[in-house]
Amino acid sequence: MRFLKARKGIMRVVEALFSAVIILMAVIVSSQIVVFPNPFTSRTRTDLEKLGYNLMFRLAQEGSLERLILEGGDDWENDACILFGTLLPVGVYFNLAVYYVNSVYMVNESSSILIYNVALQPLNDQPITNAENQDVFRKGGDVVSIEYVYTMEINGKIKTLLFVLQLTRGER
Amino acid sequence: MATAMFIAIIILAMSLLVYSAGSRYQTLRREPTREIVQTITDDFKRVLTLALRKNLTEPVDYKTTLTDWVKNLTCYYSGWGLQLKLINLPRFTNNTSLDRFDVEVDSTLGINITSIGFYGYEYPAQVNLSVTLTDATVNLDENTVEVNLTAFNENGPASDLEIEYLNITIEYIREIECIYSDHVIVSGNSITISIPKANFTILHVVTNGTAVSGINVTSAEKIVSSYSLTGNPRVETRYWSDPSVSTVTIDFSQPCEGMVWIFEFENVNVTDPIGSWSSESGNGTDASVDIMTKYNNSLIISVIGAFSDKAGFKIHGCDWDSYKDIGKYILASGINHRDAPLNGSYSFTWSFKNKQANWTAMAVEVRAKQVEVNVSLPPSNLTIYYVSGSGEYMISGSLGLEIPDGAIIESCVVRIGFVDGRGIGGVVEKEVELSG
Repeated sequence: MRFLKARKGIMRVVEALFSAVIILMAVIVSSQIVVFPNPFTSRTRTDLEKLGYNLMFRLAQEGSLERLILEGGDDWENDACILFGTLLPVGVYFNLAVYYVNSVYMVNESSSILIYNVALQPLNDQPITNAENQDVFRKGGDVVSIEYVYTMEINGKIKTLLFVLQLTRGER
Repeated sequence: MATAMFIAIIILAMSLLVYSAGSRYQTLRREPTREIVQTITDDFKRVLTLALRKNLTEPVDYKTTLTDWVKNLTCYYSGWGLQLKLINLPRFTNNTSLDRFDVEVDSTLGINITSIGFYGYEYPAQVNLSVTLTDATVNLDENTVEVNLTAFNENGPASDLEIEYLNITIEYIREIECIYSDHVIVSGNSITISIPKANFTILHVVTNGTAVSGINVTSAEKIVSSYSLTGNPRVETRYWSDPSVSTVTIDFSQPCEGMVWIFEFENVNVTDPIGSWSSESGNGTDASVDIMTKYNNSLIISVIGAFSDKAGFKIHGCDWDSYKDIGKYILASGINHRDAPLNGSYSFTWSFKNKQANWTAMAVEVRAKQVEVNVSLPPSNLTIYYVSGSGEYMISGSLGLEIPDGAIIESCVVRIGFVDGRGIGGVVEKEVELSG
């Protein structure tokens, strides 16, 4: 009986050791599972969107977009590249395209119904970008697209322009 | 052991909860709803502003302009399920008067973005600019102008007003100046008179009933018109504006007796020299003629011819008079000049001191030369102060005007051209009293 009592105490020690191992494993597994999100990767998209919209709002408010198109001359794309490249932070790549929203009424020949058609015509002849090649938009991180409409008077007519600004960060 | 297992399960569950929260944060995409709505509302206001600006120079169909804009945006944002509706069609109001520029357009846009469950947003937009010329002072002694403007837009005081020019138009009249006067006695059927060269010459011919058959000046076509009264005596007034004329020959229809009055003036409105004229004739011991002038600051010249057989006959009430004995008769003539500062009725009366005479009288209104001086000051020559937060602009400048002495100022109008940062601009003007 005394021997048996002594063996029971050993089992308690073994049990405690197992318990400690189980809890330790749980802590180790949970520490592996709970990886706090990388703020860079999680907030990039939202931040870029906010950055892009804020930039467009600011340029529109100051009339810079209008001046860029109307007073920039033939080389306005280069001016736009310098402007956006200067205002955006280092490490952010941009790709700007300006479209002319051209609305036309077309007649459907079969039904003779008048159709209102909106066609986008690019206004920029050259790419407006600070990326040396477009791989940065394909292989990089999140890419956000800011679509900003801006109506101005061109040659005495009220026209709506569409600015599509793509932004991405080059490195993680 | 069981307790340890339970604790382990709790730890793992909590870890999974934390993990799922973190991974959800990473994968949930935030839709830029606020930014898209602001893009649309900003552009809506821009279209209204452009339409208002354009409407100041040419009529704009607001409804078509905004309907096209709505169609464009709806098509472009169709991927978002954007629905735009003009709840209130644009309403343009223009309460502009001379000293106040006040234009406004307002409309309400309804926005739904179905893809993100954004419904029922209404954006009331108003574009307004109100500029009032509150006070203007032109000081001719100091040759300065001071103007006060107030400017407000839909957000309150407008601080982005640019003054494009300040224009002042002063209309004044030069006082008519008589530079030569003379009279000659006529006896025969022709007379040649030498006269100094002047801008405006007027002749009064008084005869014993004989008409003037022609006046042979160097440029005869410059004789603008003639007024004559038949009878005995006979009075004719002729005038011309030709500074080259230095000799005039007057031919009569038959040999006659009479006298010719010659007056030469400067500062006469040579393009339209005569305002009005009137004549009277009669018989008695006194004479009069009334004239109703048409313009301010004119000069009235009246002439009377009288024929009497009374010895010692004289015309009383003349500035100048002249007499010629013709047998037992006396042919008398007199001239009066009078300034007429305001248009209205003026009378000339003469007395023969109880001696009977046949008389003929005429009065002619000679118009003074009107001069218009226009000074336009560019913004670079103006000092412009904006009283912060009040919408009040104080503008001053130096005129560099030269108004000759004796000029009578008829009017002074101050005009200001302006444009705000959105390109909405106009002109306000005010007629001001000159000081100094």
